[in-house]
This record gives sequence, structure tokens and C-alpha cells, in this order.
Amino acid sequence: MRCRVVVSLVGAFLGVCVVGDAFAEPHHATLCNPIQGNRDFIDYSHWGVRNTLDNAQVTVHCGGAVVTAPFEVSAISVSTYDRNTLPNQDICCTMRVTDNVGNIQSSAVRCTSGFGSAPMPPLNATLLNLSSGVDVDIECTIPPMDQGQISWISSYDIE
Amino acid sequence: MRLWISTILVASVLVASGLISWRRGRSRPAGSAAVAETSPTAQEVDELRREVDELKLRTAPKLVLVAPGVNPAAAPEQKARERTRMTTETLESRFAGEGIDVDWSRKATQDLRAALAGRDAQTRLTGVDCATSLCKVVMEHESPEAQRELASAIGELPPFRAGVVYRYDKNGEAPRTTLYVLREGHDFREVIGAPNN
Repeated sequence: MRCRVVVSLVGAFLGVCVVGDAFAEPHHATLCNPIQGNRDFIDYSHWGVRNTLDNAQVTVHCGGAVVTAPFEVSAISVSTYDRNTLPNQDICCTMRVTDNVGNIQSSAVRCTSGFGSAPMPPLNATLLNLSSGVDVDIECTIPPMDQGQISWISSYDIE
Repeated sequence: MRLWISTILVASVLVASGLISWRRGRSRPAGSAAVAETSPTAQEVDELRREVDELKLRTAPKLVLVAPGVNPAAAPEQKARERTRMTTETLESRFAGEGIDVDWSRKATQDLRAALAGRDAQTRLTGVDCATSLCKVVMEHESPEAQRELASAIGELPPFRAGVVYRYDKNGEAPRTTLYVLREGHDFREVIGAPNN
């Protein structure tokens, strides 16, 4: 009887954890890849992926698979450092959910606003899956260095 | 005399039961005396049996009856199509059931038309309507290639940035794409009534 109570409590605890966490899948931004022509202008480290230029933005694609069941809402979140002080030089990410042959099912664009040395508020979007085999493509532009200050994409989460 | 007989009988019964208990005790494995003291009651055993039966039922592979001529492998695909239909119906009914925010609707419609105007000669805009949190845009394409190209080109245009869902209809005479476009500040969770995590 005592054993059954313990098992129930453990089960309830795990249930609460599962509901609360919703299986967000974190990815380090070193998994991102540059578009053609930008290969020589990006650098990777434990901080993530960055633009090495001081006069032009670069574009990377970051991929992943949707963790939630098909036909549900997927939440995508990108963590960044935007240190470029110019108003139109932000980190912008186009987030796309595609079916398993690349047809776009849902998309949204999110950009950082402002700049700072600390991490920016995460770029969050919720997208809708209309298909059973679902992938995610996050296409981000990273602004150039500004007075030696580097902008980064550090990680992205897909739920 | 009777007293003697009764005494002998009682003593025999006591000795016999003692012997039986002693033999049972010897035939048990070591440590089982303690187990015997805490062994489950018949009621607990019955409860455990019921739980085991329930678990067996839950984990048993389900029997699927397939009508003659039906390909069982097609069932998941059919289910997927059904779910797609249900999700788009939810979007459609949400759009149809919304009131109209007249000022926003007029401006959003103009912005969407302007963004799509003249983008692709192979695509024809057949309808743009906006309500309060959603717009619906319908386009027809001359070819499947034109349909694919347009979908990947429009997501970054300003009126589509908040969020778009793309529904592809390839069964008609011309391929058709229906876009459900979110208003800035709204969320697909709210639109389809999904819970927030």
C-alpha cells in the first residue's frame, strides 16, 4: 500500500514536469549554417555563431525538427546578442515550419529591437503545423560588428 | 474414564497440529517467516490481479479491422488529411466568426494587396479579406512551381511578418493557395484555441 502511494506521487510529479516543460528542444547556434557567399564571414565558438564583417550583415539557416505532435502549435525561440547600435541593423529571423518535402506550412518574422551588451529578449513565435512530417527552418540575418562589438545568435529552442 | 479419553484426544490434536506447523515451517525457505507475517490479504491480492488485468488490456496491441479492398497503410495518410482539414476548418470558422475591426481591416487589406501586386505574373490574387485578428488571402497559380515560389517569397514581406499559415489546394483546375495572416500582437495558440504552455 505504501509502495503504491509512493509510485502515485512519483507519477504525479513526473506528470507535472511533462506538462510544465512541454518538451522544448534546445539547440546550440553552432548548428547554424551560412548561406552561399557568406561562408567566409561567419565564426563559431561556445557563444554560438557571429558575423565577422564590420560593413555587411550575414545570413544563416538553423534547422531542427518539431517536437510537438503534428497539427499542433510549435513555439520557436531564438536567443541573441545584438550589439549593433544602428537602428536598422538588428538580428531578424524568419521562422518556417515545413512539411517533410519543404513546403512551407507556416511562417513568422521576429527581429531584435535596440541593442545592448546583455542577451536580448528571446525572439519568440508560435507556428502552426498542418502536416504530419514537420521540420523547422530559422533563417537569421546577423548585423555587422559595430565599433568592435560583436552580435551573436547563441541558441534556439523548438517545441 | 470419559475424562481421560477427552484429555487424550485434546492432547493428540494439539500434538498433531504442532507437528504440522513445525513441518510447514521447515519446508519454507529461510526468511519466509517474516514474509508470512506481512503477506498480502486475499483482498489485496485480488486488487493486484485486477490492476495487472487492466494493464494487460491497456498495453495489448489493438485489433484493427480493415474492410476488404482497403489498404491499411493508407490509414495514417487519411488520418493526416483529416487532421489538416480539421485544423484549416478551425482557422476558417475563426475567421468567419470574427467581427470586423473596420479601420484595421481596411488598412490591412490595402497593405496585403499592395505587397502582392505585380509580384508574380503566374499568380493571380482572387481574394483578400480581413476581420479582427486574421486576414484571408486566396491566390491562384498557373503552375505548381509558381505556387512554391510565391510561398517562399512572401513570408518576409511586412504584412506577413506576424505569422502566416499556408494551405495548398492542388486538386482544382489551377493550384490554389489560401493564406491565413495574423494581425500583429496575436498568436496562433489564441486563434485555434490551443492552451498556452
